[in-house]
Amino acid sequence: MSERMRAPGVSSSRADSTFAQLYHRHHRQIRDYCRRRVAGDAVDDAVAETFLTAWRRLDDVPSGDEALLWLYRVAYRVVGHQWRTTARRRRLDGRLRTMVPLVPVAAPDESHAGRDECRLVLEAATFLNDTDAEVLRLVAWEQLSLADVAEVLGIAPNAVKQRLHRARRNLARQYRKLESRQTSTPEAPEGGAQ
Amino acid sequence: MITDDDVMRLFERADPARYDRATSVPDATGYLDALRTRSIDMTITQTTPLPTEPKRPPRWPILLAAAAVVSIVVGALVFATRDDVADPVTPAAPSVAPLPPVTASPTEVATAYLDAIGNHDVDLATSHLSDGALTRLGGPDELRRQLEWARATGFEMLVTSCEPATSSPTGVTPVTCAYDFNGIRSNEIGLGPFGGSTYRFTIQDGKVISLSDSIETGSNGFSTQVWEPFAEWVALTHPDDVAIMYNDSSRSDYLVTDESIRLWEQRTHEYVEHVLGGTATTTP
Repeated sequence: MSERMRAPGVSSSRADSTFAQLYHRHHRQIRDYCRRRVAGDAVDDAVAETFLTAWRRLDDVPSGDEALLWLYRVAYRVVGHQWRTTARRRRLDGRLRTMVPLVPVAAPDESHAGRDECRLVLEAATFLNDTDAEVLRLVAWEQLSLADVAEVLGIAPNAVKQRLHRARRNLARQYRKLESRQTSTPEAPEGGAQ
Repeated sequence: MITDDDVMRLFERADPARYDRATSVPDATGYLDALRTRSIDMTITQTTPLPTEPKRPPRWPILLAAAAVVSIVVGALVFATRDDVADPVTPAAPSVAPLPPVTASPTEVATAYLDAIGNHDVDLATSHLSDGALTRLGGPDELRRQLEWARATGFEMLVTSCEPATSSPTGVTPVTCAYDFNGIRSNEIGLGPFGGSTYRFTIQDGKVISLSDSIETGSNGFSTQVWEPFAEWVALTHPDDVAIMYNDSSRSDYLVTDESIRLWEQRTHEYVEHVLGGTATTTP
């Protein structure tokens, strides 16, 4: 009888220990990654799904710093799947909307205007091409190098560079557009568009 | 006017996780236990070597990944008990599986559920599910549609083993069932069954409280031998059907509607004829 599901070729106790190290080292980063990309209730699911994959495929997880990039790659797919599932359901409802959380967590001393700006820039990001937006997030929020972004997304470093350039440009353009729409609509409800 | 750099700085500041530091990190051992028993009703875990591969082939990648994953519930499966394994292609007998008694073991509950699913008996299958598990599967209507799609495409699950893990003090027992499968009528064209997939249950008080399916479609050749050739054939011979049958242009995910199910059934039968027709001249 199999005691439990576990990665093939790894003894149970060693697997547990390896997993514990991986988990302690990277749980916070993976949770932040998911927190940045999916709505509240889905965060824990995405984190668990990512670590569950790591547990099942412990033999494949590289050692050292590469492990985090590996986990990001898994998380990228897990989150992507959540998005597609959500988008599919919403298409059925006749509504298509991104799942990216649009409500930034406010700093204790952040002004109302500052929070509005953050909300606006997050909304602007929803207009970007999916991969461009992910490049932007990985650089701005996960603080990854272009080479690491390329590794996570499985694309060439040059392509990352081009996408980042395009993403920054389009983000700013969309931001300005939303901003001008907001300022030209004085009666707009708090919270902005849509 | 605000510059591109200013907007980028704003974006960095808007990080939704920036001030979310209150959540404590659960103990690894406890988390691992929770993972083993957690509720995930649809696991699209790609067991093909993606995270270790720098780049992946672009085509229907990861296959139908989701596709055959028979999404939520694995489709029309034929549950073969361990005694049946020697003849894995033989469908199980028509459903007579009774509800497990209250004292049914976790393994019996899991196998009873799979048996019901294999016989497309939605009512019996749902009777083994907790309310939460049924909800996460999308409810009985979604389950019914998935099973109908699976039936229409000749999807069969051939369970090779079901083994329980150690129960937790709370009475929660994970059960893992390994299975092979046929899809897109692969057995009718002499391919499959395709191995390497697992179904994981969590059983409590005689009910399935969570289940997940991790279907292998890459390393076992299902994607390249069955899914992709069929999708290409559909695109070539019935291009108007693609938008009805598939959810995406890469044809890696399928649509489940009344119309699509009818087409899936029709086209998979035609595909079998097409494939067999190609060899009919040499087969008496």
